[in-house]
Amino acid sequence: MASAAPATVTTRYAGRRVERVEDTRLLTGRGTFVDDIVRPGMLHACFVRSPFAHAKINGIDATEALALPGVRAVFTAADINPEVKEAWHAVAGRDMPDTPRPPLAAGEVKFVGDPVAIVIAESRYVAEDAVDLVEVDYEPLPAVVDFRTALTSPVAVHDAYPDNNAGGMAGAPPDEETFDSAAHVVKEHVYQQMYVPVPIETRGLVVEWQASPGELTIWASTQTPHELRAFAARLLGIPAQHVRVIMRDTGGGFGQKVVPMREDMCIMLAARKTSGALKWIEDRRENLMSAGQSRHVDGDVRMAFDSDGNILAADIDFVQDIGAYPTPYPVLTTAAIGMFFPGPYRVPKASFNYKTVFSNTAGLHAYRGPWQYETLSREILLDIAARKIGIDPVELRRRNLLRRDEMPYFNPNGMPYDHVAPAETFEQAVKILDHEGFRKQQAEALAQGRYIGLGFSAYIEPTGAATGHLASEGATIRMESTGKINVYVNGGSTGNSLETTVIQLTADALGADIDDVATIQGDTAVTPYGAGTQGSRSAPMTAGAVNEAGTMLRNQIVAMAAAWLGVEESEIELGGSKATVRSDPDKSVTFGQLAYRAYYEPQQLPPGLSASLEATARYTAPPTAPIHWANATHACTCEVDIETGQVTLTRYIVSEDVGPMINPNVVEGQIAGGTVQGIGGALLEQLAYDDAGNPLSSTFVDYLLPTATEVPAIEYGHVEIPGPGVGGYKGAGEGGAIGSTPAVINAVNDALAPLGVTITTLPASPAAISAAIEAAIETRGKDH
Amino acid sequence: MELNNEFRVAVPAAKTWEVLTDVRRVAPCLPGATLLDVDGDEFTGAVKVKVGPITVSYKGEAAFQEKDAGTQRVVLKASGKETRGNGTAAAVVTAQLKDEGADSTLVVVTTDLQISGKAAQFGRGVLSDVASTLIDQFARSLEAELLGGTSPTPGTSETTSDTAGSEQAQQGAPINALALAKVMAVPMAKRFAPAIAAVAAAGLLGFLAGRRRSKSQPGLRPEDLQAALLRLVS
Repeated sequence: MASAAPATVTTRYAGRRVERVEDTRLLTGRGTFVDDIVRPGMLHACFVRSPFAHAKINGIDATEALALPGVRAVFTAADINPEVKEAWHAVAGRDMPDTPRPPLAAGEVKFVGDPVAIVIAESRYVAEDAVDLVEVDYEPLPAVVDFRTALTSPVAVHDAYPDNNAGGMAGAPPDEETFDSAAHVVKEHVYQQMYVPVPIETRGLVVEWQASPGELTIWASTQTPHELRAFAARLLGIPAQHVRVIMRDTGGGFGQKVVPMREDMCIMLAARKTSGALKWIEDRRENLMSAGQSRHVDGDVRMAFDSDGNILAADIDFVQDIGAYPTPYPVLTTAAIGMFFPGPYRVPKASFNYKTVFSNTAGLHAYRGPWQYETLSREILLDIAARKIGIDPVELRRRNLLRRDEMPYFNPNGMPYDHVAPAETFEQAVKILDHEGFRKQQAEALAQGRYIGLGFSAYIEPTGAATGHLASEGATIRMESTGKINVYVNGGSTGNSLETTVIQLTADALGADIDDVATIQGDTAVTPYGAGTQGSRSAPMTAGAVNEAGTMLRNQIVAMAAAWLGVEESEIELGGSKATVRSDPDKSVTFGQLAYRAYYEPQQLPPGLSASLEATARYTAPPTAPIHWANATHACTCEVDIETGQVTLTRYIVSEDVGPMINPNVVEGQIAGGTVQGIGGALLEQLAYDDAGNPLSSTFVDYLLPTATEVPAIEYGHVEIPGPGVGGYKGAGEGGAIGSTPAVINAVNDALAPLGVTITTLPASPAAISAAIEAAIETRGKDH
Repeated sequence: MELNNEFRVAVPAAKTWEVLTDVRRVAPCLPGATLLDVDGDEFTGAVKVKVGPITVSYKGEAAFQEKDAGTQRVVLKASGKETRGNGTAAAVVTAQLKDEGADSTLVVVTTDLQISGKAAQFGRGVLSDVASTLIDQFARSLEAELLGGTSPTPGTSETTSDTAGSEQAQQGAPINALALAKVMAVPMAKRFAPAIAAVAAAGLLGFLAGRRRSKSQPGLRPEDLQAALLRLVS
């Protein structure tokens, strides 16, 4: 762990519950979201989308649409698609194979919502009206809607993939000898439904092309402004320095806004053909129908145990739905499910095997902890195993969880765990919960005919993984002529409070008063390249970048202050936006005085001392910090109404280790948000399709999100084991969404265990629970 | 998807059969249906229904596939396309009459419905509610027709233009609004469902649209209140 607390600095903001600097702006309705952007002569785009899951396009007639007053253009694949120069994503890299991703559907539509044409009009209203006037001659074709049947279906989503298999991978083959000879072997089939990020702000962008200098400006709702800029330059074949991306406030991304998608490509390409800026704002129905799908995995998992309940081997074999047009290339990203399946446990032997398969549904995209199925399926399996072996799930986990003294530990798939102690978050959660007390209550409740349950889930999570373009991050820190400080990072306000934490870190790096520090983020014209908010990387990577640039600027401030005060640099201490002589605290100079001299009296500086009060630096994760392993244990209690199948969550505990916290409020906010998303995935949310491929939950009437009434107060426990990077910080963005779904399902299964009911097909909706209870009663009736 | 409904009318099966297989007489009984053209057993129709934020209009054709007086079974095949937008609806509707004595006929309606587009995204739950409400309404109108209402002349069923027609349907057709309000009541009670009506109507007999049928309406009824509320919240 490199120090983020230099000896020359006395103040410390990191670790404190500093109020969010974003709050005043956002809570008073003064945020600037992409739809707030208005440009002179701006035009509006709306997509014509397929009503069929699979159909041939025999023709498109835009005559009537073009005749509508206010309509400027209607573009189809023939106009847009040939203009694509390069369309690869940084996460996969330039040389990776890729699955098809045409901007507009050409020849065939492959899911309901597939964009077929773009209408450009003077207002959104006119554009929407005109969309209905575009006549598309479709010839419906058979569709493969259920990915579980896709590998053997006679229908191919893409002709180039006749068996709908986009690719897969396998690790070592399963050790069947161990499975054959083990004292206990538990096997389960776990199906996870399709559910999605649902950001409160849908996708959208405003693209303005200025033909004479050939410059493109993009205002975007994005998690990755710099990579959007690089992508736009590649897509249009224009120099990157001619593209500027500006993002101010983004109303949530959760993975959906990491990688530019087909509609983004369309708008960028169409904007070059229109006069004036072009705005596209996705509506909610489009978002739920077309933005993409996530989670949707079907698999078999098994574990072998010795007679004491020690894990001997773990195996996972699964299929991931990737829809028609996954973004980005799905084959490698899916590998994480297999590689992390052993989780935070001592697992001597592990194996995995998977395939990614196309279907006539919306394409796979990232969603907060995209590999969540590894934790879901493993933790469900462990509870089933505990019941089968006849020990409490707590005891089974306790026997197998990795301890601090076992680090570093390589899981059998080669994952190098370190700076983490899963057993410690687990024991903390058990203690907060009062496990023994709950078991007593549970027995009493059962005696009264009430079914209450307790579920645990433990996971280990790779945060800030230094792979490819994610391995480095830049920062510029500038002291202005007033002595105030601005810090420039890619960052961006997507709800993860990076403005607050970056200001805290910068104030600490320089010994500045926090009120003297501001930040500018998300504008590629003024911020250094950064890979954006993804992979739970912002805290560790941005902390590294601020530390690098902050160290350079601090050294410059110290040098100027030493000269001003006539002492050695080692005598200077920074704090409260001033430099003080350590041995003589009455002697000091303020940052304002130093900045005035540097900007307005540079000739007063000693010869050879630079007047520069800014620094730009790029942090690259060192080989000692390839991954910052975070870990958490979730514990949930619930009551199940066995008449209605209704689940009421009664307590929710998260004990987590994200290293030292820059700001506990921010960490807890991240955990809470993710946890609620996972609760929704366990009980409510489902992006459903009918047999013909019609999406059945494209409004909030049918797509059920958890609200305050479904979520109990979340209780937090913190274990702070410093990670290997700067400040010991680890990522906190995704974990909540990983751990919560299995904890809730395990609590439901624990409650229903006396009835012999185990839910392994998600979501655990009231209907599913009632049906399972009825089926169990019927089976029992037959047995007796 | 398959929708199953049934209704009773207080007239003998033979008389029911007569009306049910005469498209000119049965069409006006369909909540919202407008008959555009009849050519033997083939005919065309149109609909435009607005409920809450969703408007769906279909124009399409239908034909009797089977009219078997012996088995008292009639099969109608219908298909339509949204007049604005590219959604489609196709239905095979089977009506089986069962004579229950002198003054009662049970009609069992099975609808095999295939739809695409906006309307398809409301799922079976809402569509079933819509279908059964519309069938109830249809049954009442049919019964009124059977019990001696004057046979509507084909000439009066001609439709106005889509836009004007829908305005008239909204303002001048309590039957329509009433049906829609009932359709809305259950889902709304659950969770503010923006209901749809047109599709189920399409499922009913393949064509619909508003046309005032009854000469006299009773005073304010609960359903009318619901309709008014519906307009307020939609």
